[in-house]
Amino acid sequence: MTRRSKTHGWMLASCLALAPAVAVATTPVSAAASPGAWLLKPGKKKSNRSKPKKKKDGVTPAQAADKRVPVQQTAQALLDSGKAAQAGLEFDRGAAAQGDPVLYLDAGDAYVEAAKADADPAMADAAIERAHIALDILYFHLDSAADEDFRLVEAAEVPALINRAEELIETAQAVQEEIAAASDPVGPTDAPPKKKGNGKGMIVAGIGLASVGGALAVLGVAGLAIGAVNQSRADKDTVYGSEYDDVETRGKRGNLLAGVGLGVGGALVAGGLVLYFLGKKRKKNAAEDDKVVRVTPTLGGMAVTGRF
Amino acid sequence: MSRSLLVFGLVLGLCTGATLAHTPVAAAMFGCDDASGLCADGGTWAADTKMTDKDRKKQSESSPGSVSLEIEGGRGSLFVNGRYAGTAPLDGISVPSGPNDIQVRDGAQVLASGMLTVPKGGNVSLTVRHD
Repeated sequence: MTRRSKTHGWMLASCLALAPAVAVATTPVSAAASPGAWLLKPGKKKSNRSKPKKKKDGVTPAQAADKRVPVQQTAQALLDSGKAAQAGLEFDRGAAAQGDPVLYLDAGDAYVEAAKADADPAMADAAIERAHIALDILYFHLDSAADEDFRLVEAAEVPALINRAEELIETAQAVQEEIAAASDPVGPTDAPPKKKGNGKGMIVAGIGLASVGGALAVLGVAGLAIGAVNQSRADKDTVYGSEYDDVETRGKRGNLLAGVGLGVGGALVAGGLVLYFLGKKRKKNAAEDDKVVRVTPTLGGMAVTGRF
Repeated sequence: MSRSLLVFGLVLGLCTGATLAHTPVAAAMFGCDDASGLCADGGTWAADTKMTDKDRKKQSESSPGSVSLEIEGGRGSLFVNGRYAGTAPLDGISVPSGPNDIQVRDGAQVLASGMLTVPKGGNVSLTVRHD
């Protein structure tokens, strides 16, 4: 190798070594956070105290709107196929993921549709609750305590969404009244039918009455015995004068005890037995009435109630 | 003899009452009577107080605690550190241990607002009175 070619070799090596540094120096600032950015780290660590700390999990209204789209599409497909309650649950799932007031309102609208379709007041209740949750979140958005880095809707949208929530509550309440009026043809002013108990109270009262009656009847029997004993004493020839008067008094007392005890006790036992058997019958009927399965939305998803 | 029995019974009754009054069951039975409208069982509550930057540094997400919420006489939602956490009744909502900004509201009405300090791994039961 000649001396000239050696010099060219050094120049080429120097250029190759300098090339990345030149390239990095011309890179836009925004790209400095790329995986290769560590190459630019200066020896001395810069203080970043003056920079505002941005939270990693913050959300902007635009990001929230993007996240909302797939939930709304899935739920809309369910609504279009007449499955309003399922659409409500779908909206609920999306809403709960990050506390999205728009999706809570969408869920409320779906539950109102379900309430209308099935004449189910529980669905209207669910719609009202979703509207209230949306109101909680929307008013909190206007509060200074709300996280500035976590904005699901623009502040300018909040008043319109509050109106939407209030209208949803009014609509759901109107649906509830319609359902109540339809199920009660006499009129909404009439008192609701008194719900029959499950008969437990009657059974307990029956047992109680019969027990008290039994106790009184036992006293009555004791009275009978006292009366009989004193009667036989009074019949003896050796009993006369003041002794006869005492026996007579005791005998009368015994007869009174027997009359009251057996009369009242017997009546209580009879009444208690009637109550007991009526209670048993009512309990049986109530158990059959409860064999109804209801599916209602709750804040945690869906609730299935009833007896199986 | 009977007098000493009476005194013993009275003392026993007072001690039992005083002990029961501090249990969560009793709190649930007798309600929240704190002037701020919020009673915290298991944590420290400072009404109308906000976290400072220094408080925020004391928060630990690596050893979180949990919060339960019950509202007497109404409804409401819980907001923790500026975000929606759920609507009452709530049970075992995970929160960072240390100080946390808490707000409970029903629509436009703020039912309670302040700073709640949650012990590491502890469960705080909140009872809010809805006037």
